[in-house]
Amino acid sequence: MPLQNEQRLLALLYTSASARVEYARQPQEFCKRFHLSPQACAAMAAIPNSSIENYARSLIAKRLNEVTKLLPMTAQSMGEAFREAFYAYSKEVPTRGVDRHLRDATAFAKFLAARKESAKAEVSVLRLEAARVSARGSSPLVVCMLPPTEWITKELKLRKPEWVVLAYLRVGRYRRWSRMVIPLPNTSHSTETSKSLAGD
Amino acid sequence: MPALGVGFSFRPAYLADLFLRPHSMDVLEVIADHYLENIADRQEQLELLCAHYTLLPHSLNLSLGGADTLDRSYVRRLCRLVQRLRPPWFSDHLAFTRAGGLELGHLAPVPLTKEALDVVCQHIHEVQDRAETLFILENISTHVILPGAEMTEADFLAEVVERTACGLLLDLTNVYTNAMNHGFSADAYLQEYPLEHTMQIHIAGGEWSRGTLNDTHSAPVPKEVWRLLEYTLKRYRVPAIILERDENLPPFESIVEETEMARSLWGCHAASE
Repeated sequence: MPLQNEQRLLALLYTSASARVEYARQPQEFCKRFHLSPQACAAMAAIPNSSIENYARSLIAKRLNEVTKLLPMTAQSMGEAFREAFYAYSKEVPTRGVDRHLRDATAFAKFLAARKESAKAEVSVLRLEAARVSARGSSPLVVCMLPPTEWITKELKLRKPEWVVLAYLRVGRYRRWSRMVIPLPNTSHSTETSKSLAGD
Repeated sequence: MPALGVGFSFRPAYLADLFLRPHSMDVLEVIADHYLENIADRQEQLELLCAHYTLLPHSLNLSLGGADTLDRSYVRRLCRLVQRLRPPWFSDHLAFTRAGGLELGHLAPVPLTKEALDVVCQHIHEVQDRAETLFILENISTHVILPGAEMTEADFLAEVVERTACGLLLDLTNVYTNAMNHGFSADAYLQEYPLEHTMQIHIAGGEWSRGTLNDTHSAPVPKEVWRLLEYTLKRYRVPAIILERDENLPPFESIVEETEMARSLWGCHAASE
């Protein structure tokens, strides 16, 4: 089925930077891997690389835009490094599913967390935002541990800086969330709040 | 088909403003994908909107032009939503969004060939029959011109309508964007386009970047698209016009101003009939 093969080739080119590099080097050879006829190979190879690059860039820009909305404070705290990191992450990681922006943001948060160069302040912001994003996904329980930074103290309205466990628990048929903030032992007080994610 | 009027593609940021000025919109389009999951605040929002407006579900991921089979789970959830909202029609795009297990996350063009035509028609039949509601197909903007075209886009769309009895959603900004990027006349495209099957029009504003116009829905509707809207409405009174704005969201007043401008053109045409 030529259409199916053509679309598989195009989908790979649109979403993989390394495939585009390979394709730019030897377009006809690359097309042959998708069982296209010599005529179809020649026709596909005539598509300008610039238009494929433009489209691939626009796909990444759309993803970056959505992920920035889901991780706004991480983006703000990292500045230009956020964008650069996203381009590095998205080169080979495609999106998936109806809730693809949530998945993308969750996967990108993991990618950032794994980077050793992340500053401590960014880690606390990232952990909190990643938990919020995960809580909007399909998992029934999301738990994360947050360090005693000034930013977390202010954001969670704690009385003083302390390590806390933050948990989101799904309740009911619809995804409504209860949020719990549990200070770790050896701290002076405990707080428990419950509210919907919409207000979080 | 009823004349629905003019509205905008609903964004949650405008919910409060919308209900402060409930008569500013005749109809709303909702992005179906946002309401396919059982998320409490979204479902409650949808119920509220549905109680006050005619809602037109607009989906993004049917991948009607994809040679792979339709995503059954997605189709089932979309059709359930359509049956719940009971709209006069629902819409998606002439595009593919996934192939070979890869999801693009956006709309990619399909070649204008007989093989692609068969695929699109078969998929529309499946979706339209299952939803038991009129489906309308939207033209997209594209960076890539695929080789091997056997017909024009207008002929392709006319043939889809003929074979499936679906309707059309004419995105004038996409026509304008393609005309700018690929060097053809938007007026000539519209002369060929099967307007008599058009149920809805989209208008929006894009942005230029590196010499390319991008359909970003992030700016006011440009003059040239207003002209195309007037040109289109003079030829055919399309039942609904929807303003799209996804990014750089302006105050609601600006959205209302643009929809009022569209309504005045739409009303002028109705009066001249």
